[in-house]
Amino acid sequence: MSNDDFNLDKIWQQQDVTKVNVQSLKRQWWLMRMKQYLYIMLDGLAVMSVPLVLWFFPKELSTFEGVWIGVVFLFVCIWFFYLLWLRRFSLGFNSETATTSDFIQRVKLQYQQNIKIAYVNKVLCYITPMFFVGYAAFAFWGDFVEQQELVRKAKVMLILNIVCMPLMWLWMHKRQLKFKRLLEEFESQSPLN
Amino acid sequence: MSKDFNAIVSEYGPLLSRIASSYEANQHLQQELLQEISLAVWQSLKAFKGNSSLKTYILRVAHNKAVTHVAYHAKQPSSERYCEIESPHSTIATSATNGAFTDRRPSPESDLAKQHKVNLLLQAVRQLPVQSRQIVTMSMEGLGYQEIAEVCGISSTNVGVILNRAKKSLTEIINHE
Repeated sequence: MSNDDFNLDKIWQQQDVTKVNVQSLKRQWWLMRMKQYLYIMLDGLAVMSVPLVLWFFPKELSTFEGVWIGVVFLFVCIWFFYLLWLRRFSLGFNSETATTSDFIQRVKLQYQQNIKIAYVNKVLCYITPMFFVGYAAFAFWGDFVEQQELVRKAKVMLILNIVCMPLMWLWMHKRQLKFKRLLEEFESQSPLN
Repeated sequence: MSKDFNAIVSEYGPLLSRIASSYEANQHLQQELLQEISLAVWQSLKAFKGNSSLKTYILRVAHNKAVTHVAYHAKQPSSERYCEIESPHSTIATSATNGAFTDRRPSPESDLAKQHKVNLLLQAVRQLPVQSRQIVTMSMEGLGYQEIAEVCGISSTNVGVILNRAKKSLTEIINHE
């Protein structure tokens, strides 16, 4: 070790340091775990809600409605597993303990997948109303549901589509832009460029 | 919280703080980064299999966390003026050499000169590209070429080249002042 190296090391070790706030760490840890449980619960509820409807209200649904809900469930399942597949890069990969080069590649890949996930959810905002419109059309011309009942359900679906879908689209659009920006920033800072 | 983690915080806390200061000049963000790094270290401890030294492992986790943090905060507006956390220069706090916390007395002239050099070095380190910064800080924390190469995922020859170049530029800045 040269004299200059020794001096640098000595100066480096002399800097003031801040103490780790262990109490705050405990709080962060607890919050993080709760958030993870909540996400898993919400994902599970989204998928399970469809068969639950079939299970609890079998007599209130016509055969046509049962088939329609079954198709929706199939679609939700495909969507759920597709999202799971997109998240495969972060699942089962311990990003913190990887070498820096591997870590940087994984982070980039995850940002790219997050952009794709946001895009897929935006597409879902266009497809969902089609399911409702399809239901209403089949029910109306197929004469599967009583007219009064159909009007009541159509109103609920219309409100859901008008209020929820644009909000969901906006949220996903913001996420897509956010991850694009993060990816650009990350690539500009990455030591491997 | 396990006793192990408490022991690790008291032993490696100063090291983690120095890593945080090499990525963040803003005191508030530095404290935030230190907490993030410590949390990441805590989470990763269960995956430690003893293939490297604990210090190398902790440095790997710390640098990976710091890279993410810097990328995320890169274009956030600077909030130095509104920082509520006092600078370590004005706090009672703590100065650490080789991992041990000691009380800091009010600075006489020699301390001011020392502080000036420390600030110069920190500013210069923060201006280095991320990879050079990682390599030079790990070297100043006592890691050898091979250990640094394992953390960064590059060859030890490459580490040597980058380290020599970075240290030369840092020494020039320090000696020039």
